[in-house]
Amino acid sequence: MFRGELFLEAVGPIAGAAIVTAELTVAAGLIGLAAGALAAMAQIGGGWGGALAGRVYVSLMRGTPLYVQLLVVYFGLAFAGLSSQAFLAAALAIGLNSGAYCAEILRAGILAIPPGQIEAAQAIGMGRLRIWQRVVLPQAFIASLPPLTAELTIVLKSTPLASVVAVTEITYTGVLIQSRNYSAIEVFAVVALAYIAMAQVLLRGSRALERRFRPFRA
Amino acid sequence: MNLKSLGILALAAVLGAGAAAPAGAASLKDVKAKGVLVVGIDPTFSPFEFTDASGKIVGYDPEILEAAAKNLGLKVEYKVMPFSGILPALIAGGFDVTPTLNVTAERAKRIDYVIPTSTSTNAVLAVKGGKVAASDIGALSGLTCAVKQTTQPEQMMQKLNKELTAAGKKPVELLGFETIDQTVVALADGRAQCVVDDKSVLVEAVGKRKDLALVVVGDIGGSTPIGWGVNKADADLTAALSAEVAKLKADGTIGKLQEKYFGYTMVVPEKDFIPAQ
Amino acid sequence: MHDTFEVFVEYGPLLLEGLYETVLLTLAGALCAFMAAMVLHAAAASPWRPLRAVVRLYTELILGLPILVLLYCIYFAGPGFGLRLSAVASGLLTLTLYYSPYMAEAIRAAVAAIPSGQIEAGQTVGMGPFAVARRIVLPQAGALALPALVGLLIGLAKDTAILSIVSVKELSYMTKQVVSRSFMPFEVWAGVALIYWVCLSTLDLAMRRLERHLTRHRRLAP
Repeated sequence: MFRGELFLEAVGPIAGAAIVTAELTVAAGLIGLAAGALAAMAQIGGGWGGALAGRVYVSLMRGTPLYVQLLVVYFGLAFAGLSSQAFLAAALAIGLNSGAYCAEILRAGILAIPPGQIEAAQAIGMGRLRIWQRVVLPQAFIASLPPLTAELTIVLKSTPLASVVAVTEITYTGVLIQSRNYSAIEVFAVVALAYIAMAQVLLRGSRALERRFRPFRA
Repeated sequence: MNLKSLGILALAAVLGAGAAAPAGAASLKDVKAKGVLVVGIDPTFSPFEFTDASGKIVGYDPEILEAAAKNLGLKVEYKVMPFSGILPALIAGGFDVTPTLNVTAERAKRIDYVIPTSTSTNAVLAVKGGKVAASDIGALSGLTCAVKQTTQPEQMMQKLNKELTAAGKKPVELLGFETIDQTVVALADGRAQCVVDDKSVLVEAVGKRKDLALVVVGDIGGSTPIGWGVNKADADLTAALSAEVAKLKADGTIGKLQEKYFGYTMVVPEKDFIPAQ
Repeated sequence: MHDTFEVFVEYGPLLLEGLYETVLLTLAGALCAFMAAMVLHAAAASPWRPLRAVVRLYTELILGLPILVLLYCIYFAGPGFGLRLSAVASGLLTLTLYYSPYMAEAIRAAVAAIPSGQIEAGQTVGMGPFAVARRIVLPQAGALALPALVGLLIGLAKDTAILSIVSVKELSYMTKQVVSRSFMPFEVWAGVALIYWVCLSTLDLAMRRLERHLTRHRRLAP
């Protein structure tokens, strides 16, 4: 029942598609981190306007399916004249979605910083931007590493949806192979293994990162 | 511009820009300047469009398309996506052209068609010795039928369902999937009693899955031309592609490709091919 | 804008039908996933090591697997193993298998946060394990786990959209139908995003109220 040759045939194309998945994960992860940091900063230090904008952003992203967000961003970019940018649309949609969760994580990390530190920074004459950059964000980032890396795994697991906007990543490559030779079991075995392997890489990498930064934690 | 404002912009667009006209894809001039014809495709529809063992996109329409593009001095770049996303993306300007699209009156209002490259007749696929005795809609009443989401065969079945309910009969339950192989698997597993789609595609599936004892019961509905869709904003691109298709028809290339992929030649209309209804 | 409005009026019944299915799937999926999470939680605390190892392996596996891949495996590869489920049943099984480890983790964290002294005190005054669970652990852990569980419930509600790929006729499936008829992808998807958002925000708000209600004793204390 399990046809080994079909399993082996799927390995090459899916390994190739894994590169697309990896690129998309990294791009969306970085966009998510940046969007999350900005949204968290806006909510905490951006006055009432910033707080409102930050909350609306988080609420919209958390309150709608990523599947729908992908389509809206894809068609939205088309309205903006960036119509054939499938990878950009996917990275942006997945990244902005992840940004809402990063914002919540970072907000908790920022609020955990003792106010005395910020007062001390002000006392030695640091400006607002410098305080964010030198005192608050680095500590919040390090303190939030475990949930942030868990979020990156979720980004990896969101990438299959990018196929709806013409990004041929691992899962859709599997669908295409299956459509050719009717090999659901063999192909999805390869697909599942690819994701589990990539998730393991992320897990190991994040543990190493946490160890590396542990000396800096309060 | 930072990312968040970009996000807010996108969301503002979501809520406010509902009535704006789509930007549209590039015109023929832009396409020629790029030197690339961007093609949106769902290559899971053999023999019309599919992938070979190396993953390369091949098939009847891609071969004609590549010949036409070559004559226009263009390279072809494929954007691969499920069919349910193809028409929306074409309207949004995600690519310049999409092949293998049934010509329907409804679609012709929103997109333009290059002159057709083939004709399609829908047929009913079933398991040998199963519940499906005949391919007319009355015989399918009350059964479950797998189709591809948002395709012409699905819409045709929805229309036939209206006739069934009007006649006081039970409608056919339609299960929509993303690819033909998924519909065939649903049939083979007994989750549907039949599949309705293009006959040549179903014949191909029967050949591929000899182990399943599938049979094409017969035709259903009339036949429709199949052509390539282009964004309404690109009238000159449509005209240029139509001229190329006409040339490839005249010099016999298309006839040869029909023999190669379908095993027979078809009569394909060149004028007035858009149905009234 | 006018056109968009007309589309939503014309196809409103179809979309409502889909929304109804989405709500049912969410409720049934959440219930099944929560019950499975309780089983996982109990199994993870089992004295029998192989069982604990199986739970750990299963959790690791799910944490690395996209829900879409899980759905494909169950629906398209399942029949090869004799598992032949309808689209809705496959969808529910997918939601259950995918969300139960996450929910089990939320339950574990909440239970772990209850001081063991309280449980010992309950045992000392002669409460059986059931009474301890019902009167000491559950009321507190329930409130503690709620925020995380609500987040997962909303995640589960959103992931029902994925089931449209295997012919489950929920809101996103119906939306694809409407888009293919109206040819207004952007407007229709944006409108449907709004529908999801209103429903899920309402759910979120209601759950926050519930959480406030369940933790009211903490605010009454000095």
